[in-house]
Amino acid sequence: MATITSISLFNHPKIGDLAIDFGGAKHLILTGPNGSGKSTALLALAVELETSRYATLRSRLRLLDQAIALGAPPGFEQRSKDGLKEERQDTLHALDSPGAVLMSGDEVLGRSASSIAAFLPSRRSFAPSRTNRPPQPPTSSVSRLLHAANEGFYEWLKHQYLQALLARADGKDAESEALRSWLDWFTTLLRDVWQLPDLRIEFDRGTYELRFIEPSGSYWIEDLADGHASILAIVSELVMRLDPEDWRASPGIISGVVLIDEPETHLHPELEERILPFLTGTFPGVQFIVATHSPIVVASIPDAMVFDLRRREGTLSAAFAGKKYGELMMSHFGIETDFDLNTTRKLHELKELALRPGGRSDPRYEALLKELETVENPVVMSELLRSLSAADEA
Amino acid sequence: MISIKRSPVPPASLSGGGYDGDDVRAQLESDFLGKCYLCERKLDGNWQIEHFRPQAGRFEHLRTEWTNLFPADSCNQNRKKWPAGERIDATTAFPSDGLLDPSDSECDVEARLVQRMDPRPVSADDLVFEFSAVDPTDLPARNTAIELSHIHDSDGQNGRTLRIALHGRWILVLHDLLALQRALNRGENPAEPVKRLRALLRATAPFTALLRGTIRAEYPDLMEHIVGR
Repeated sequence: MATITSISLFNHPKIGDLAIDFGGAKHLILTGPNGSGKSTALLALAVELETSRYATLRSRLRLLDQAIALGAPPGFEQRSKDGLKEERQDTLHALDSPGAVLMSGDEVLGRSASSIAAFLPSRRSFAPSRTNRPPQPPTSSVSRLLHAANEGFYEWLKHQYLQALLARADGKDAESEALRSWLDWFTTLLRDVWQLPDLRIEFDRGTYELRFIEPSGSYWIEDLADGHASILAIVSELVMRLDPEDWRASPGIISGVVLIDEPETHLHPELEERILPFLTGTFPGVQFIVATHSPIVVASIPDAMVFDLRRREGTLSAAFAGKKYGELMMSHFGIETDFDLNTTRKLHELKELALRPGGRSDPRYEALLKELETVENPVVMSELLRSLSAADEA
Repeated sequence: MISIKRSPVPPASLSGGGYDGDDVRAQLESDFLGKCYLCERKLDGNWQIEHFRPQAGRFEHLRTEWTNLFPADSCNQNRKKWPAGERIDATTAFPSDGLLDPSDSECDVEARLVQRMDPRPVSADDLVFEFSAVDPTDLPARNTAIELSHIHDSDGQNGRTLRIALHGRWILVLHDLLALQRALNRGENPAEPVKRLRALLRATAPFTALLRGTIRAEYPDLMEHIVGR
């Protein structure tokens, strides 16, 4: 799948004209105040990606029809007629599904590389559905894609554990081993991003549920902390759109575009720092386009174009390396000082008194200077300097 | 902006037709004391070689001319655009009345320019700069003052990060000015704060001209202690 290198919107009802050049960076991070059009821009992009997916599916369908009618034309020599028909069915299914999750054509089209295109809105939900019967695994890659949300993920994951157990009981060691190794890999992933180094996940035969086990105790899926659930929502959204075969082989071959609105939702700053490095590290072939309000997220990966929609100005995220978060708050997010708002107000008041004729004899001036004495700000410091120098002369 | 001494010998690679050889970069970095010639921030790894007189147009012949090459950070994309005179809408980074050349040994930039700021900015955006020509009829100085105002006041990322860095640096200076004043008030030896202030204001440190100019204007007595009578 081709990488996006620039985005242009023309005459968009909310955003107007917009041109974003990625400047050679791989990922894109959109910033801007509420109402500046971040989510709107992501949505417009999602619609565009979906439209081109639709066009790709249409042309693939034409090719398949020809292939089925004419025998095996070039490019289809290896394919059986049944395989072609099955793919035609899948393609039709994908075309028929209104609001299907965004998928680039590549995986649907059965090419070797897995490819995803997903749009994750900012309202992050991870609401596992539970059933009392064994879960139905998705029957084909297409239907798995059409699970728009991650709601089937928990059942699917449970199913993987169950399958691993059953395969072992049946003496199918290789199959069991393959499943186990993927599950181990996935658990390692969660341990890493959740920062729970001792986490284990086990299938509980008594309750038919997965048990999350930590030294401090064990809990069920709905007891996950909001931040952890929020990350799982993103990860599971991606996992559910991929072929586990590819995952087992190598997550690195997955390519595509993933749009995430506010990946920092529900996250503690420690996790905010890690979410994009984690996602870009786990899916090195995927291009991420995110919108965020967080200076921590903005500075968290080195190869992104950070574009501010209010100022219509882009900066490569590499330029934020070595900058303090407080500085980013001011330079990029427009926060006035790195002090709390109340202190900033008092600093302005002190300055105003200092500049007003007779203002320094106002009792409020002395009180403010005393109160702010230890605040490292030029207003306070230059006023202190002034009074010290007056004392010297006296 | 401060005056610097440009090495009289052009780097060898300039005779080969390119202007951005490693020897050119190294010589510029060393001659200009590791700072952007416009804003006096320390040069990072991404600095550009700037054509003082733009290489496109009538100064094309100065493309590899050693005395036309200057080190600049992102200020090089933020230079003031002047009417070029060729077409009504054409602009150039070099005005017809000229600019001060800080590497010209005849040109004492700090003597020809007022460079200072309001000493009590609440925030970086609250900074107020004064750049002006000491002699109002000195047109290159006037143009340079306009260019420096343009860069320091710009709304873009470059202007904002420049002001934030300057604001932070000014806090460091005020810190030591306070220490110096306290030492003087107590009749103690002010050698320590003086030493630190000299380090903050020496030519290799960032924002030398603005910091010196501001202290000279606002705290002339302390400046005398710093330079030593």
